[in-house]
Amino acid sequence: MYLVGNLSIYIGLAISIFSLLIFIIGIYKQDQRFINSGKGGVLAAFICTAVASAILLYLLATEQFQFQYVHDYTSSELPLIYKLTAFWAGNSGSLLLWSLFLSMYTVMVVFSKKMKGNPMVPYIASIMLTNVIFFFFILGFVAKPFVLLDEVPIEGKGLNPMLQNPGMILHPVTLYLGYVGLAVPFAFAMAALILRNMDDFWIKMTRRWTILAWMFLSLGNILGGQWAYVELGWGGYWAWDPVENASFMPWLTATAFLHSVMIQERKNMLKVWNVSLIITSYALTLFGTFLVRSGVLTSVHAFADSNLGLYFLIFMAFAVLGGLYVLMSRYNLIKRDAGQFHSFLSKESSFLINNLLLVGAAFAVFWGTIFPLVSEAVRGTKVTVGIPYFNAVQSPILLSMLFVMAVCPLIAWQRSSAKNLRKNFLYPSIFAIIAMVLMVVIGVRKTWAVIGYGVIAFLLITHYLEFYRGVKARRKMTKENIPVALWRLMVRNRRRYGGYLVHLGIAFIAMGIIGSQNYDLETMKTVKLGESIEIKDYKIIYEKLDQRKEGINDIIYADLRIFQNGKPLGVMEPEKVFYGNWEQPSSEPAIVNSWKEDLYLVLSAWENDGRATFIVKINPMMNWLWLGSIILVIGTLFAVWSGKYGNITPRYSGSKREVS
Amino acid sequence: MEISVLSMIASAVLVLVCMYLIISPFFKNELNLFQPVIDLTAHDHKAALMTTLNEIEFEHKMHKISDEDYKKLKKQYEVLLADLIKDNQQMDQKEVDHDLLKAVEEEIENELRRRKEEQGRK
Repeated sequence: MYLVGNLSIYIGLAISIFSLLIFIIGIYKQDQRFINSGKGGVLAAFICTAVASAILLYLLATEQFQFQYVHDYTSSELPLIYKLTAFWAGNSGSLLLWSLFLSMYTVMVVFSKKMKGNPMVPYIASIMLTNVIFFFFILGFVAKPFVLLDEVPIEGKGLNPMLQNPGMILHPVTLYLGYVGLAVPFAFAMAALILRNMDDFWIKMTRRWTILAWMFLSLGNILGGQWAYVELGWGGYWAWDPVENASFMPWLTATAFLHSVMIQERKNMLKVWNVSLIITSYALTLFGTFLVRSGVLTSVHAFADSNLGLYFLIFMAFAVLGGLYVLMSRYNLIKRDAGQFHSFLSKESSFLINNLLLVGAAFAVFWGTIFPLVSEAVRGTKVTVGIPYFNAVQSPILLSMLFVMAVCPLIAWQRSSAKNLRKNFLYPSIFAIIAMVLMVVIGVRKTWAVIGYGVIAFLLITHYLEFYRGVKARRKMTKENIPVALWRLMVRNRRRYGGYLVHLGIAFIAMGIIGSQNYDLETMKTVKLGESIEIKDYKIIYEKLDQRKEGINDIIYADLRIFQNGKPLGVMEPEKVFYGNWEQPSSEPAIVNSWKEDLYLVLSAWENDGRATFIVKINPMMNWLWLGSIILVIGTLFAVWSGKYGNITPRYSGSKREVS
Repeated sequence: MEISVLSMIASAVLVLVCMYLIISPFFKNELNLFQPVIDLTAHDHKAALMTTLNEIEFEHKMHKISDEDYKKLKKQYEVLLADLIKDNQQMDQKEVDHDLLKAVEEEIENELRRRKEEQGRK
């Protein structure tokens, strides 16, 4: 296994370098045999990463502790699923996973039916291979997954208990699928510029790649938040941690890109902006990896300190400078034949505003994230900007984004008149104002919350009207019944209505965020057995403190009987787990879910006489946040689903070459 | 460290597969797989204009654009489309039909009608 594992990585590296060179020679000589050889190399590189990954999984599953990676991240008592997910618990494994996805995506693009005969293929493959080479180099010389220990240990160190959670099974995978997915539109954009293809072919071809990458990034962020909420025991889901920010930044710029490409498709505008956005998004994925791997910033999520970050920094600089060079060298060509806006009151303009807000938000997060580094460089001391900075800066930006999102469906493409806008704004505005007044009446008094929920109400009604009017217009033409008209309206324009579903998902997420950030309650109390804690309309009676053994772990738990307005809700058991193979214990909270709020219970400490200290939190509207996330995924899948009307291959009309 | 026979066989297979993938294209007779790509920019442009016209129609029905803007935009895009079709036909035929513009306008109307009917059927 040692031989095959290592060989697969070094052969993968050699083949990738060979393929890159053979593609370049093939392009230069315009000889299809060279290009086909390069394509074979792309497939071979994928086989190598697949073999290496399969071997690592086998080693992890079969407890081969003579391998350092297996020893460092697993132990014999670990359930099989966590032995397997230890694949991405450490640096080398997670980078192998990244390489696997990257080489898989390269194969998918190179052998795609839609790209058959397309002269862009060798260029795209070369750009993606440059990435693959970088990762093989790291796996071969910096973070080797198949290192043997001098002696065979009888037991492994075990997996960090924090990572033993279902959320952690999917969170890294989805995040990597998102990160790596952004390499595809980046490669297409670069290839299009190199070939001097100034049309929107690359955008149309990568639409699904970008949307799916965006969905995986969204899922990665959400699952990360969900994991933090149920596993870290602090009652929150987002702490503006550098590593969280690292995955949020490319999400923001990719969101901007998804919207601005529509303007290029319709108006032939914003070409430079779009290429810049995809370069930025791609660079931010590398920047995120640099942050996680370098240890330059303190984070709960970071991998152990290593010099890996430096390699990522160098590669990121190479990618950004290369991308900018290609962009600038084609600048004059891109600027030609650009369309123009017909009106400031148009959907195009609203997309532009949304782009500025998204990029502004990304910059604010970037600045807050790197500020400790900047302050250390300038003043010699690391000054960390905390949650208040991010909340203060991001809240108005994100609220404005919600507003633009709400207004967008009311505005027509091309041109909207003030009169029409007034007419279309009337009912949603009245609805939103009534909603805000009602909120104040029922006791929502915080300004941000009232404004936030008002904007969300506005968004919900504008989106409802969009569906309503669409169905009505369709029925006028077709006489279909409502469900049929609604379904056909949506499937005939999946992108638009899928996008609206995503907007609704974001609105629900925002409801959860506003509720949980503005109306959370917390108390910390030490109580004796039989005593109770009261918070809001809950009464929590402390009934028992006990301990049990699960495998090599000792678990201390408390039984808490919960009442809400006198009505029994059952017994909950918050726990503190002491691991047999890990120094730090962890708190496993007990959570009572409802659509209104979560009751979040943490066993913090206890005394020999049975007294125990509990942290009790009320987090309003958390379920709305998770529901919104599900709607977001459904909307994205609906938008990219090919179906009868969506499976159209854009026509290539760019430069012609003898090889493809 | 002992290296098992199985490992050696697996390694050899991996090497052979990779070598085959990169070398075999040089021994195949597919010297040029190039498929000529037809420049369909004009066709795409026409489709884009038709889509825009359709969209203007639908947005008008959803009361997002005023009657005045609707007429103005429709006319504007119809002229663009007419110019495009005219250019195409001029490229295709040397003799120019004097009633071409009228015919083009009819074609646009027919196409829009056909799309509406098609929408109706679906």
